Amino acid sequence: MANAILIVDDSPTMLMSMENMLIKIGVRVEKASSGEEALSKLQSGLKIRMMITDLNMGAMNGIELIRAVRKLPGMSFVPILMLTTESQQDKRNEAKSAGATGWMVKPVQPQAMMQIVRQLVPGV
Amino acid sequence: MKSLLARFIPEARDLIESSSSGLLKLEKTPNDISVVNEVFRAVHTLKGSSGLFDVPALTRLVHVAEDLLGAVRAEELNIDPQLVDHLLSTLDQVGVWINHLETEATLPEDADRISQSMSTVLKQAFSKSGETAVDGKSGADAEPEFRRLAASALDGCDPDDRFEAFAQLVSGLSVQCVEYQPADDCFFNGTDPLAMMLSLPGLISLTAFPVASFAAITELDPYRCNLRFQALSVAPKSDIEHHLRYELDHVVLTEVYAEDLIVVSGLPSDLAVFGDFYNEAVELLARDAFAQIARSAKALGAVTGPDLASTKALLWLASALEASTPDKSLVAALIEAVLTGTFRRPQVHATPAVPSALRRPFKRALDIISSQMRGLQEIPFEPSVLTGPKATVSNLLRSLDRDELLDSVETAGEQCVEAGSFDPFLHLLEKLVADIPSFAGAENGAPSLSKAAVEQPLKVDEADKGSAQDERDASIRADPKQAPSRILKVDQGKIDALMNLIGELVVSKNSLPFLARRAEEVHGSREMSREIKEQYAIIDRLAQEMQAAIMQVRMLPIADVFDRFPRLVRDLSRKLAKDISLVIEGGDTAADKNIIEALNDPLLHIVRNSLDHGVEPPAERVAAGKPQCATIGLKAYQEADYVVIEVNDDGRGMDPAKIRASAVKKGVITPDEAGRLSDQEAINLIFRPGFSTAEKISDLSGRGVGMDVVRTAIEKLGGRVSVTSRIGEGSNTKLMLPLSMAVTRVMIIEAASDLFGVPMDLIVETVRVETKRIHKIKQAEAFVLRDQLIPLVRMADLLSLPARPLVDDAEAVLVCRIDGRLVGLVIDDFRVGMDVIVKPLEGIVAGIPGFSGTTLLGDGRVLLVLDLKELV
Amino acid sequence: MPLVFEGNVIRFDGHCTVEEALTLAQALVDIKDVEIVLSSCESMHTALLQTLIAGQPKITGVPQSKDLASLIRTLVRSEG
Repeated sequence: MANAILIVDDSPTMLMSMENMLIKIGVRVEKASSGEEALSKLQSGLKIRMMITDLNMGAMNGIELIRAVRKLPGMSFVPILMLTTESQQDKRNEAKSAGATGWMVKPVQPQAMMQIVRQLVPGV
Repeated sequence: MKSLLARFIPEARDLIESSSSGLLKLEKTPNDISVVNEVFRAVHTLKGSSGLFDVPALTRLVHVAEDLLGAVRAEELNIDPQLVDHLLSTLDQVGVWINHLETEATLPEDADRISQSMSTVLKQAFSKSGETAVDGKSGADAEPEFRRLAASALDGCDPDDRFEAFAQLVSGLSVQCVEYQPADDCFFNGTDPLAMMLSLPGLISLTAFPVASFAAITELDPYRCNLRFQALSVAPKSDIEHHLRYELDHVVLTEVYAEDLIVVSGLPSDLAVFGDFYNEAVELLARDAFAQIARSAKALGAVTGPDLASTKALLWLASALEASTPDKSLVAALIEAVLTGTFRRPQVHATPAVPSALRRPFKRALDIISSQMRGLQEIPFEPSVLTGPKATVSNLLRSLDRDELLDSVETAGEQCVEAGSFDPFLHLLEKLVADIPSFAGAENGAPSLSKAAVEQPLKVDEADKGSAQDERDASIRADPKQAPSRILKVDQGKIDALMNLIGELVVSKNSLPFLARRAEEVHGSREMSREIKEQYAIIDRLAQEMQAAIMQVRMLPIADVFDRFPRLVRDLSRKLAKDISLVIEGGDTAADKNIIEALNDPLLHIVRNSLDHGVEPPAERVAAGKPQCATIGLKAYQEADYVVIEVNDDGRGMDPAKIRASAVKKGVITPDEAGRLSDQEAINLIFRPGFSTAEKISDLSGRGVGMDVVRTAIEKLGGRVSVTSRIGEGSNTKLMLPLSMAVTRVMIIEAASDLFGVPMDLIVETVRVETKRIHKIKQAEAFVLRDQLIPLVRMADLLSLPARPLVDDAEAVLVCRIDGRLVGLVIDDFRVGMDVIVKPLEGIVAGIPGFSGTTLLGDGRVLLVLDLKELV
Repeated sequence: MPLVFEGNVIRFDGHCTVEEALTLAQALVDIKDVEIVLSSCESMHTALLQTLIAGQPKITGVPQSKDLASLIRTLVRSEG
């Protein structure tokens, strides 16, 4: 499939680890290391099938990013997952009302990643 | 993936270990919230990490345990020994699976079944304690049980799907009805409800309904979700909830009962055959002849018209009868449906709240009584044991409003004491098991679900008990090889590799003195020789420090072994109906990991002996004026280069006279020899091979089972074992083990014109003995060393090789202590002492007696290390 | 594009996504005697399913998922 999954995290390690998992599942990966970078990539026409973003990032956090992304044309229906830690459960509802499809608990494990991607992106 | 699993396995073992020991602590101090938290966290983490692998059975079971512990943490549930039992056996099972995972990378085939039945047991423990503790407060679990599907709830569901779900339910699975009404703007969150429901685990049927009737297509907003879904699934509730975790706010799960699924519809019929069938079936049902009803139903169903409602009823009936224990009220209702063509739900479930209330105490009653029966069948008669079961059964009867039966419990108890057996009490329990269902009322109300629930725990417990228990004790928690230590998080292979390298370094440095000698003798440079020796001294010191450091890394606290014992002692003392407290001291004493690992089996043996044979039954202790509760002590401490482990008990001790008699009877010694033995020497007989391995010697007060095996194991580690005992006061077993065993100090000797190593710890001293001081007594030789006559053995003779001719008039004699006796070994000459790594004999030389291994010398030669114990 | 238009026939091909729901709804209004072919449909979004339910077009062919097939069979008329 042509369109990629966009992963957003300010930790290069997390980005790399998620990228490896996703590549193993066989999807193309686009990376952004901040909310701003993700947003500008999408604004300049990047087409994606799913986005996974961290919650805590520099200036723009995950929830703000999700809100902004949902307003972009063509991004209304794209599944978006937010990465949270075990202790940030209260943020999940906030993320959902900002437009997230769901969440994943960090550290993300390959099995969980595969399951959720297959569930949300048909044909993977 | 594979390496992740490799990381998970030791982690899981650690978590199992720490939660088990936490649970044991909790049993003593149930209110210690910090321990509760600790155990909860461990189990929680275990569940979490297990979720990374495809081991749903394991994850599910751990999840149920976590729920229980969560309830304990929330003070909704009290910790009691039974709960601890359940949780411990759960952890044991998980441990077994982890072992299987390690070797096979998958769970065993029966894992699902075991997981299911153990979860049922745990959930029962939950609802039971939850209810007795704070009635109705067990909210999360109790609530769904009371929620029932409305009679018409499944009307939209395809009858074939309902039939399939019914068959699954009858076979023992639980069926959930999943109702999902997504938010109407859910598409804008990236949610696709249809995709989610189609991928629901365990999906049997899926139906969709419009929430509001659809507007004309011209008016339709396709992006407002106007569908709700209903599904039947046979997956465990937790799996379903996990799958739908982002949408749980919009999901309702309801457990489906057999009668919810039955739908009988079709053409009416007044064929006489259905009437005949009805009469026959009603009569068969009265006799519980389920199999016959099933046969008739199938036979008739095959010939009557497939569109008739009665034929449909026959098919449902045949399916219902597939259950291992068919639900009688359901069967009765279906038999009626064959006649009438309409299915009426059995009365028991007419009002949802009542059946649960009715069913629960009485299926639990059966469960409790069965477990009491099993307990009593397994142990020898002992009047005091009856107190508990009597109280339990009495309370049970009171709770069932059967106070009139209380007297029969007392009477049975008295009869037991008279008869000296549990039989009268067991008979009473059997009778109760037969009668209890009738307490619940005429409709004989337990649906198949609850019957299955009663039977499953039986299976679990049986597997748990009986003779398999001992092996399980050993395999689950006693084998340290399977449970890496908490401290050594480094792959053991890496430490071993490091150890080997340092060993090689120690050995290579030993070549420097050779070099120094060559410098002097061959090249004539005394100066060079001196410098080499100086450098050697430095390298030697560094190597020793390095070696000490790596030894330190390999040191583990002995608690690693000791920690397994509280559980063992607890389980065994319960099983043996003995009252025993275990006192552990010095758990932080450290020793090399090889020692720690090898210690486990011998120690297990010794402690088991104390439990089985040393400690008397409570009554006997009281009669002997001792406290009813026996004490077994496990103590570790360091003494010079040894770690000492003592196991003591205050049991009946060993009787030297009986040991003598038994040893003579077994032909281990002659009656003459027996007479000459001191009491201590008599006790030492238990270490003789052949003494204790024969049959069981529980009649012989004290212990002794397999002590020769213990001794062999300990001596292989370079240790010693001794036993002291006083009749009536108890026994003490003392193990002495070297702190580390990786490097052995040997003395190099010349014998029969070759070099050999002799372990330094056997050597008492080296002397030169003038030939004239050697006395010949018959064939034997001996000499006197400081007023002590020491027998001489010629090494050349032992090796069947010619000795080197004597140069001067004195023999080189190595005085060794072997099995406590001094022996003088006549050799050709002494050489230096040296630290070496002894490697076991391999290949074709393996198994040659008399040698314990080989080592590499500094000049590249291979040195054979002698096993003096075997040679002399 | 997963929705393939051929005359009065709309073929669902592969994974059919939410973005096409509006097109489908419009097509159900615009095309006379519209016929939906589902035999090569691997999955469809909820939005497409409910559009089919609302429009009740003629369906031929069965989607690959047996559960999806049975949903369509009960919710959308299959013959004229």
